[in-house]
Amino acid sequence: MFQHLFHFKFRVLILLWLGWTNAHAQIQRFTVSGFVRDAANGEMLVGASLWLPEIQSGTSTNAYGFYSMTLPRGTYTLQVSYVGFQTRSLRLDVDSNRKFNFEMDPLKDLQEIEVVDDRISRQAREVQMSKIELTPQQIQQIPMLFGEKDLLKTFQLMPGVQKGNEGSSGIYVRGGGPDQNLILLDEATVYNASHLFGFFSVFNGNAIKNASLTKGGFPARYGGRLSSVLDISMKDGNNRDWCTEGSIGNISANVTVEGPLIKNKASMLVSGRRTYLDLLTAPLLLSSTDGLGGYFFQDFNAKFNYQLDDRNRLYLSGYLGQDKFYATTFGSNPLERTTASLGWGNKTGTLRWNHQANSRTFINSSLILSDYTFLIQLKSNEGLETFDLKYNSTIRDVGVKVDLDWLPVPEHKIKAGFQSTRHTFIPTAFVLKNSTAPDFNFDRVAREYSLESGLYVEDEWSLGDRWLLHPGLRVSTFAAGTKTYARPEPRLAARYLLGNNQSLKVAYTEMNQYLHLLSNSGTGLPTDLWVPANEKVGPQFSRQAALGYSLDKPRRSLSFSTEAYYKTTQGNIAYRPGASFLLIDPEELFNENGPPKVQWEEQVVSGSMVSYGLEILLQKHHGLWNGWLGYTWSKTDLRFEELNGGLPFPARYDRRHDLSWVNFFDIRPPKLGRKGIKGSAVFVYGTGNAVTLPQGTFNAPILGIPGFENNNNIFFGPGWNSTDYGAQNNYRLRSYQRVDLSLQFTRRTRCGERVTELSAYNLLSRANPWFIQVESDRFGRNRLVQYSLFAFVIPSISWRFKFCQCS
Amino acid sequence: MFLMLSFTAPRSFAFVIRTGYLVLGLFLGSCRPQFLDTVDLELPSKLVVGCNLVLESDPIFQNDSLFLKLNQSAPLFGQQANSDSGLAGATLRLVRQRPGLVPGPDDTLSVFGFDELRSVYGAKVRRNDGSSFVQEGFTYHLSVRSADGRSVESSTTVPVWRFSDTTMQVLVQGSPSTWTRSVQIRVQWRDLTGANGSQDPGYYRVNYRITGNPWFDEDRWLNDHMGWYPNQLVNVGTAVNGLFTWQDRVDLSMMPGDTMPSNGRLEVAIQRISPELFRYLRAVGQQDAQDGNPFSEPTVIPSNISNGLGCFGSCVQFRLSKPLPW
Repeated sequence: MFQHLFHFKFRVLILLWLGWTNAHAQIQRFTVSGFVRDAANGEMLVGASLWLPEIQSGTSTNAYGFYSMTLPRGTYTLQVSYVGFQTRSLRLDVDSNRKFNFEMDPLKDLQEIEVVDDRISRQAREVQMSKIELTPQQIQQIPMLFGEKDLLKTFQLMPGVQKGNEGSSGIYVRGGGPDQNLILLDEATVYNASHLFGFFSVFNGNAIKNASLTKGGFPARYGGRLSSVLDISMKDGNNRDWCTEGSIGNISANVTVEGPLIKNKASMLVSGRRTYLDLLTAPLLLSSTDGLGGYFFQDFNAKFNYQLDDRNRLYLSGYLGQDKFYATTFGSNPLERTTASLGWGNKTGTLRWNHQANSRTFINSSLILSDYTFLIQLKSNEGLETFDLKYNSTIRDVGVKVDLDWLPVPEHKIKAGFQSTRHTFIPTAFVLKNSTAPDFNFDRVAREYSLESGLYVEDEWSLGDRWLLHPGLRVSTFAAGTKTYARPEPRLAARYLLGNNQSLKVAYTEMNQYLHLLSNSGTGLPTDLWVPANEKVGPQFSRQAALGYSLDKPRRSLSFSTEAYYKTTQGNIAYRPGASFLLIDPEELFNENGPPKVQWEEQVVSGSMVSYGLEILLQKHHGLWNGWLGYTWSKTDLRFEELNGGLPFPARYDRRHDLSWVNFFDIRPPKLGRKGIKGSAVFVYGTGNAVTLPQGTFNAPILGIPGFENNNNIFFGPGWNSTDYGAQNNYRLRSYQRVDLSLQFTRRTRCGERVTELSAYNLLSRANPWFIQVESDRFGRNRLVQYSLFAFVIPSISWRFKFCQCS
Repeated sequence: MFLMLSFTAPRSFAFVIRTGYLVLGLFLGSCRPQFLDTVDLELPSKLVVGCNLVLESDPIFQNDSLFLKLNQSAPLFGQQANSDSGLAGATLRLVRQRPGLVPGPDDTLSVFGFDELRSVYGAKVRRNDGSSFVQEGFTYHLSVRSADGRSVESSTTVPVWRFSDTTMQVLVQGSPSTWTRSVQIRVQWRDLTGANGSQDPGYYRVNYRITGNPWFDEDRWLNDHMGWYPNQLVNVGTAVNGLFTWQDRVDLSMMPGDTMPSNGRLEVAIQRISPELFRYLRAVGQQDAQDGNPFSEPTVIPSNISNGLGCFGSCVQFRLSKPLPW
């Protein structure tokens, strides 16, 4: 009987499949594909929208500016649009496979907008939720500390993204820590994206083409981190004309040069940034003291690309960044010198090959390198005697990645790929070379290796006019030491259209993170150590569900979205009580056998996190006044068995309320011969951070052994006061509030422009809390003192320029 | 003069001057630096309770009384409180609950006396029939109300402990011609109880003393200093197939010419302690070991005293004794 049933079902399936293919075969379909570029410089435009109003359907360009649409035979009106560019509209006759490349002209001023960018009307139609995209123009307009435009600080103004301490550029997304953000610069991982302890990010705005932050609903192509993916693309380089742009501000200067090596075929971009305060003070220090010292940070970006033919393109990009504190003292003897330095920096490199296999298939293959090192060094030369002590911590990656975009039929947009990275961890490397006591020399380097891989497939699947599904599956593996982890990560997102411009969206994701960041809360140094999951400390795992509503009002240039999320994480790690980041015992530093090796696994405890919240974002995209208002209500609790008595406690950056109100004013658009004026105003408010505040001291009583009490003392105590810290993170700092203003004066010339910007950071001189400390007054009474870093308005002035070859 | 210049100078220069005014005006107009600000904060003093219910595995050693220490913390901010002396005049009540039963009239202990000399509260736990108020597996609820009206509560469950294969090995090294002796002790026991649920996988505390020697007070336990507490504590992580091991070494010295004692005994007390007491002892020792190291994580001392500090714990104690071969 079962055989009959099987054969019957099998025949039904065959008939259905034949019917489906026959039906499709009868509808002739053709593929239209190509690239969308910036007409001014040839840059590929990522996420440009291509829309067909007749069939209420469309697509967007991928990360390399490529698009593909399979359409039934017919005539269509194709609208191509991108933020900041004029929309193009053309008549499209689809009667064969066609290739169309589009060149988009930038918008010059508001009065030139005749067709409102209807890309915003399609935000409600996209299935991807929890995603923020920023353009370099938006980043340039926002007033920042010391006038330094900062990508990460701009993202902090969006709902769901919390900032850290005062002035910090770290981001905390939906309750996750800074280690749970995957930061990619041209596909290479950046492990520490901060300069000067987090005051500035490492990303030079002049070298960036676009940036997107995904907070939830992660597509299967992303993996390895739990909370967010910050995907940053560098500019490819102007392949039409040579251009130079740069800026000088309060603390740093930068310059970018880009241009065609072979016009319309190969181009390059080189960009550099450096602070200059130490250079200015060096002569003064040398003349007045017997040494010099200072601090600087610098970034260097470079990119080359070469178009082999219509279907193949090569890219080579790299980044070098460094922070360094240094001090050098000179002795009376020219050979005597002592140098101490504390520094850290990232290096990344990516080699990519884009290949368009056919009109429906696009493949990208990448070779990726990344390195992050933190280094403390002390060197002393006294004649023939030398002393060299070095402590460093490093993480180094070498990886390959292949991504495939395949659009077999209009209803399916399939992406699939593979990625594998070999990590080399050097959590601690201690090297001592002492010429006067060579017996005490040692070279203690602890190395660990691991291999992290991921295989994924995802499909954007249209089901009729209203439903759009985005299922995906990622299988990630991690091998370290004797342990191998292999875990499936299902992803699902769906969108249901309520009307033309409003929709409901839902998403569910599971993510694994195999790298841990050991972060010491007591110090302000970039001493965070990246370590791998292994047989003793497992990976982190998260589940996140989100529900959202999206509404676009294109005629009024408005969009509204709200999202609720719930996220749980297991396997979070924290230093156990009494643990130290140095991973060595300082008293054993000069032990004749060297400092004993301390296993980092013994220094940490494992726990979990629950985070949930509601985000609201209202945006106005165009007009004399535009900007956005973002609000987040959220709660994040941590729980570690060995911390806080096993009871849940709020995360340090748990902020109940977070509000950002960003306004841009186009006071006078710039034109040739007329100075343009733009203004911006930002207001931010956030609940204070949670910190652990000592409550008092007490004699901790401990009962001795009954019957054998010492000197009739039944209770043995430590003999001194123990500290009562109360519960973990039991105290809230004052709320954070800030108002920033800026004015930009733009003068355009035929071949470029100059912008002078005046800005005021913290206009109301609010004394926002940086940290608190217990101090004694002159009567010996304890008082709680709040320290503020920027307790007054910080004005800044900067000057930006750009000029290109005039054709 | 500069103001006039800003209106009469060439256009670009005037712009720079006006800009400078604007920047300077912004700066001066709102400059009220407030880098330091005192935060008004009043914190209350908390009651500190220390009490440990001890059940001896051999009834011969069972104590007649239990003791409770009550004092208060000194808050960092606000009205200072004396944290050194005990607080007299408090009302204490200890209720015993058998597993699965409601406490009866015989299950309440409310007569506590205050010993001024030792600054502790005590209550008699041995009944007229010789039985002890403290029994294994029972849960004890403590409530304390201080003379000034503050009250705290706590509870603990006396562990159930079955064990076997208890051995103690002692090695004494040194020679009659030297004035030092090194005593190495190794104690093993096999736990038959197993874990009392996931919250109590097995926590132990070990202490020892050497009697009949001139170097130390006979009544003093050798590793009672706070710094030794990590050495005292043993948990299930160190056990192999249910067999626990604890070991230590102590070096003893005497002055030349002293007479070597003819006898000596080593006494070891092994306690199976309640989980809250284990965490409390471990945290106190960890905080001591931190000793102001700015690079180490602060240690929070957990307390099972609601609205208070300290620990109300319990244990079952087993003693071993062995002569020392000097």
